[in-house]
Amino acid sequence: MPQGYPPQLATAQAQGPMAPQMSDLSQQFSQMGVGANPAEYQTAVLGGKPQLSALDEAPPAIKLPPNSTCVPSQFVICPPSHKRSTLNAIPRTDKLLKKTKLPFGLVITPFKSQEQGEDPLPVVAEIVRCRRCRAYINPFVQFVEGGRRWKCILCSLSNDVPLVFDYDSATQTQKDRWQRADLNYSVVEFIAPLEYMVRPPMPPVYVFIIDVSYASVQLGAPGVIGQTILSALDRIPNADLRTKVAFVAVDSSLHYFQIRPNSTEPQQMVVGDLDDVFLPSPTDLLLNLHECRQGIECLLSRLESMFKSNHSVGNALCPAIQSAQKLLGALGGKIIVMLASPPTIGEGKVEPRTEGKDLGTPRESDLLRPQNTWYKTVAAECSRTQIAFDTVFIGQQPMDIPTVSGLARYTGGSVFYYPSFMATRKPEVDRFAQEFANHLSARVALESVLRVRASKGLRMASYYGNFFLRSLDLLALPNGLPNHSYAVDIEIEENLTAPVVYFQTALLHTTAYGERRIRVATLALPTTDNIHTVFHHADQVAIASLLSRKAVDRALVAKLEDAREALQHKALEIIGAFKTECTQSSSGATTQLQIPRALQLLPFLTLASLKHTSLRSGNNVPSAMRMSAINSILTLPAEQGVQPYTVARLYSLHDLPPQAGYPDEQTGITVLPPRLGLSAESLLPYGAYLLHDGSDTFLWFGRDVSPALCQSLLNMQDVRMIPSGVITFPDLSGGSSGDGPVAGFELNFQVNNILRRLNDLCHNLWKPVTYVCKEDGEPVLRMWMAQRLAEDMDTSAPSYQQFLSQIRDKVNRGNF
Amino acid sequence: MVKSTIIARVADGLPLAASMDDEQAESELAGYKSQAKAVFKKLNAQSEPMCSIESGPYYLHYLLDQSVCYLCICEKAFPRKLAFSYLDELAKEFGTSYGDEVDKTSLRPYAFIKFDTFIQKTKRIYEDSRAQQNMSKLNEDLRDVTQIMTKNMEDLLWRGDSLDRMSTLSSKLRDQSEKYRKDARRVNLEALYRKYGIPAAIVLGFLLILYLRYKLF
Repeated sequence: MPQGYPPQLATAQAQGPMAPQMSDLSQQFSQMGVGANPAEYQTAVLGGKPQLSALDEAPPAIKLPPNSTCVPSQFVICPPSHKRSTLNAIPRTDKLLKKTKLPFGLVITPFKSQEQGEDPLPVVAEIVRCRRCRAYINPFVQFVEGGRRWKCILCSLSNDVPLVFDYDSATQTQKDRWQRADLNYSVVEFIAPLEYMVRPPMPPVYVFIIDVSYASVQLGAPGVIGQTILSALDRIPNADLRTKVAFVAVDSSLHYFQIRPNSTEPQQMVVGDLDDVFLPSPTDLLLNLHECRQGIECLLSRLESMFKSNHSVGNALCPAIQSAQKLLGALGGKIIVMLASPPTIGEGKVEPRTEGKDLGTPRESDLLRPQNTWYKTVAAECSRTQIAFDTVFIGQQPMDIPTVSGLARYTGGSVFYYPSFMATRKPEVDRFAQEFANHLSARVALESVLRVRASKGLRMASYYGNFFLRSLDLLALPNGLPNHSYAVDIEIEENLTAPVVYFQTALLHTTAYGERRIRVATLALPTTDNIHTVFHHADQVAIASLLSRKAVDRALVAKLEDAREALQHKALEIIGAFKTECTQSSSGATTQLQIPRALQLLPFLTLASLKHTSLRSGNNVPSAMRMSAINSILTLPAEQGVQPYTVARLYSLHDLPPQAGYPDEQTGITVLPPRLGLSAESLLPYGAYLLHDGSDTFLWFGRDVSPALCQSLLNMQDVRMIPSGVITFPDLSGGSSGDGPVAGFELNFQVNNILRRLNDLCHNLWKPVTYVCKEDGEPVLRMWMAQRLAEDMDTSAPSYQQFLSQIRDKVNRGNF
Repeated sequence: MVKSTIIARVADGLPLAASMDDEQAESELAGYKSQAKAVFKKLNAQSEPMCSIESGPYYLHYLLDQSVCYLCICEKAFPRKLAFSYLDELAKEFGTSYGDEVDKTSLRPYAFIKFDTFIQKTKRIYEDSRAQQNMSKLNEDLRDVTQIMTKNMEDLLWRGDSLDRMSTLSSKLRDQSEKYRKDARRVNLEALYRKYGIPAAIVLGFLLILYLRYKLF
């Protein structure tokens, strides 16, 4: 049972999709001290099946001493989806931290969008900052000298309170300073005045570099790309009609499209001389979306027919990038590179790398390293002029993703990979179209920079994610996105004497409609001397997210084996440290390992990370897939990265509870059925199951599944009639969940609602493709699905039970 | 051609809109843009409504209209009439679109940055100073050039010059007094010659004859 909260802060604990009930308001204050009663901390015994429902719970409560905030407000606890720490009770000394062996870091999603049901972030017009350390004012400051000065939380300097806090000069009235949003909310947005601008706010700019070489035309990519962008034109951020777009088609020469101001017909200009790249026309290549709308629509709809019979085989991506840089000049913007073949012309051309025999050997790690530094150099130059790259890789050709994706990784962009794309495969086309359209319509944070400040004694050691690091602690993100997150390793340099430490992240950005803003999120965490408290307030999801980022980073820099080794070792160390420090049997062997309840899923999460495509050992993961998975791990927020991307969700469909798939009476949110353990044991021969891991959905049918189920789910008489492989999951109930199910297809209705809800939980990052996998069906599909069943043994890693016993042995022996 | 345009509020110098310039322009014009900011600071309701300020290789032309200042940085060769005709067009369009919103106190910087698209379009029309329409504009008697005040940037920033209407007279006065000083010097020198010229010439002639006669020693 969680510790008590003071009445004001009680409501702040409700976070996450299935938050536990709020604690009783009648708990005593005196027991509020951190590290109070170790006997109330629950430990779990490592064994049996992992309790996956714990992944949906909120992180351990942050218990601040009373009077930590100047205003008793329920919004002072920083929501975990914005920023979460691996430890919700910080050890006061580095020695203590090292004893626990727990990793200390933050996982930040700086530009998170507010979801449905969440209020928009409060906006404050006046910026008040500390004179010395430049921290922003926040709910945790203390007002001294009768309210005339405020004490900074990071450097303890007393600053003057500006007049604007108490007096509104425009309306000549007194103001109540305690109503100010920046003293009540931990996440606020400030409107930045002129001093925070180097130049007038830039508009959103999108340059599309589209591969139209033979390989791309074979896949039908130009046509699909043209149609997708055409349908997304209204969704691209264009609130003040300044958005600019440009299109460059690339094969062995560069094709530019010019639309003059008074015409609606695009003119194509082909540049074959690629040694010294130049723009064929000084104007009208970068088009204003609103003014040249007709011409742009005409161009996009003709894209397919223009290049239908193109047989050119080269790919002049490097000159294209250089000319796009010239096109954007000092304006900046986003360059979206869409490739279906490797770049073969120019300084950054890539040689094909044969990888067949290197997979599964130590040489595999070399395949993940870039073959030349051209892309990283270009990315560094571009981030200075506020240019960001997104890279989209389409098709099966070896495009050397590790090298070319450097463009996106060092400018804060995204990497997309669609290996099975083909214009004739409708599910793949739908997937590409929806994901790309969602990406284009995302709110962007233009010309933005991110800085994390912490209390005295704490130091930000290293950062993980897609960004460019400028001047030690400033992350440059030319086009920040709402679904990108970053992780920071934190070191304790000096012993912490204060009872509470603070972390403040500030993201200075220009919104898509030309306003310069600063989003500030302040997180306050209590400190403690008690090692038990530290263990019982650790956040396992944040720890898993941070450790998997560190592991993939290590895999990119060193070897995959080292990364796997380090991850396992870390898990062992943590469990060993708990045993040594916190349990009675500190030095002897035990038959049962104890672990804090807060960390009970840590071994399982470690195993799931080891089995994930990004780190998986074995010789059946192509390096392109691996690189794409690594990039996802590095950028996904903790909530989506851990679940469902690493730990899939498995539900049984043959015994769905009656309320699953229908909206809950009180909240209106679709109720999800109970999850099953991720093991083949859960798959019974007469059952049908749904496995969702974010980007893919698997429907598993046992060989004895009842025909009635097949009928109700897919309108097919018998399980033998269901085709194996990719299907488009039909919607047999007329679409919206508002109308009830059509009689006879209730199961279909429920499953559709469940799928919709699962996608919402992932913030529509992916449009999953549905695969049908039958118990006696194709082995490839079965193997693919089996890779997601993390509790089972497979070629790459042991089963959960075996893993636990390995841990137990190593911890008991004391050497690991 | 017009290199850069900035539109700001006269009362406090708050920039309302500006042109997004390309890379080359940014690096060359950085200094001149900060000079433009200094000019905005010096402006007030009593300032001269139209003025060209000379600074290095550029002219900063500005136009005041309904408490908004429209400033453009142009090359010296760009005809002044064209520059003011350009500013005039901007002023008309901006006034009709946003005129009544300019005086709000809570306005954020670059609040009307979406005006940039119109600035770009207008700039393109005025780009070629030899284009047909522009020639006809030059030939029309739009504004008398002498009515537009001319200043020097150095004077403005460091010698404490100001942009008031009244200062036209005082700068005229200053120019005139410069001229007067030159003239006075000249006249002084002439008077000196006239007074001492002839005797000095005679003495010099005498010394010359002596030297020639006795050049043996």
